[in-house]
Amino acid sequence: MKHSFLDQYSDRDSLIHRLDPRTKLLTSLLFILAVVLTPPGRWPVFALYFILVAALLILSRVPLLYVLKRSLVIMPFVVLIAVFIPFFREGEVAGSYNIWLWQLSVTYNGLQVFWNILAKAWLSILSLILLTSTTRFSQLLKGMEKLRLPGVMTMILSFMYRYIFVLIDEVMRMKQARDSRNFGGRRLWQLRTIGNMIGTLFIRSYERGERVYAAMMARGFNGHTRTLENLSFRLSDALFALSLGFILILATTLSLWYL
Amino acid sequence: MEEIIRVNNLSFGYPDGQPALSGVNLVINRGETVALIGPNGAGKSTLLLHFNGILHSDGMVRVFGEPVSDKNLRWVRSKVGLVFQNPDDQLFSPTVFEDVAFGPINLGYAEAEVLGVVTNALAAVGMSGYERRSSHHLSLGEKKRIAMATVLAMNPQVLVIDEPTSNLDPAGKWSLIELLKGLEITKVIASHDLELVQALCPRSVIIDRGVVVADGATGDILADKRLLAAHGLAQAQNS
Repeated sequence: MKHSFLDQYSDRDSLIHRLDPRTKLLTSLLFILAVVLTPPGRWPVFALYFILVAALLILSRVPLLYVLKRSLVIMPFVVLIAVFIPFFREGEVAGSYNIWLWQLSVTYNGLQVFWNILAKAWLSILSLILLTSTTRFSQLLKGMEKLRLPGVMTMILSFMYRYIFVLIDEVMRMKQARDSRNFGGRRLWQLRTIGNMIGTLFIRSYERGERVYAAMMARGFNGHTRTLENLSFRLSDALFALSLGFILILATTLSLWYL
Repeated sequence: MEEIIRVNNLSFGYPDGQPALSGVNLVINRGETVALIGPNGAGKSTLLLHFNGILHSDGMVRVFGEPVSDKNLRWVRSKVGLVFQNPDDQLFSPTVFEDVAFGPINLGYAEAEVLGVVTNALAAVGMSGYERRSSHHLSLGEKKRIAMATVLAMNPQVLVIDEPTSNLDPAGKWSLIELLKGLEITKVIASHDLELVQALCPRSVIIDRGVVVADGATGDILADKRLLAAHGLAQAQNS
């Protein structure tokens, strides 16, 4: 089975694709930090961030519809967390509703915080989509390694990227095998079957881990990951990082003093 | 003839008490292509895991006359290249290049050397140009070839392959057999695919229930239908 939803479009070519993964990792982090630290209600600054990330997305030639669709995936989670905020903030009441025994009131202040969280989450996810759809996952890992992220973490991520598809396939095959034997019966029985499946999956993954480790040892692995050094900062990296940093600093100063 | 692998009276039991090998004797000489045949669960894979010290053998296995021990594992593994049955276990890196380069980098090759051996190994298995692909997007036949390249890149003296043709379609199987035929290296192939054995291996060793029950010319062994049937390698005879 074929899956490539993690880093789709990452093997295209554009100005952004050609940047060093470290540049992209650090600037994405910086961008998210700037977005998160902007006080609520500074809409012109948010607009500036949006123009910035949208311009980069257009430059990267990733299909915009794809970006839009992917960015909406995060919304249910954010809304679920943020939806209660308008009801619990103090402030001028925008409207109140009587639902059976309770009286609920929504405040302007709360609404603003709510929109603010949505905007921040959306901008952040847009920048992460930009990062992952312009950088091959292997390059991203290499970048993390070079940025001195602990080796264990990059190794776990690398194995996750390699084996998540194998596991998904395994789960799908198990489900098909279960369904073709007429999965049904009482709720308790169903739960037991699912429990058994999770257990089996765990044991299989564990044993696969042992076999993978054996295969690594057979090729001389002794606990240290070694990779070839083949990343290089170029002039374009420096220019990109500098100009993005400049815009972000401008935006944060704007949001703190001017408005 | 130069001995590459010698196994003396090797016995092994798994931690759960299941005996896997009892008193196996076997010699592999340079230039041979030997088939290890036997039914499922006969102990073939367990024996292969002893060849390069993944499973400990207390000196019962010798490589080039040296007993395999914890001290010379690195050296042993650079001589004995083991290709696992399931390429999904063998190919664990994000890209094909990194997988093939894994062994050479661990052996401490310099960058230019690594690039060279990776290119050669991929060419040897007919997979040139796959360097940047991800393993999980390849077909099983392609994965099996890449798995072979990951071991060839370490320039071993003997290639030990576990079930190279399992789950392959006939066309994929025969192209793999042709590929193996073209590799000029000592080979030990565990399989119960008798077509492959006939086409590739002049010598065959039958293993059943952890014991070597026959060792000789492939023609003689495959002609002995009674022997094959007795060890789960042919349809049971009603006599």
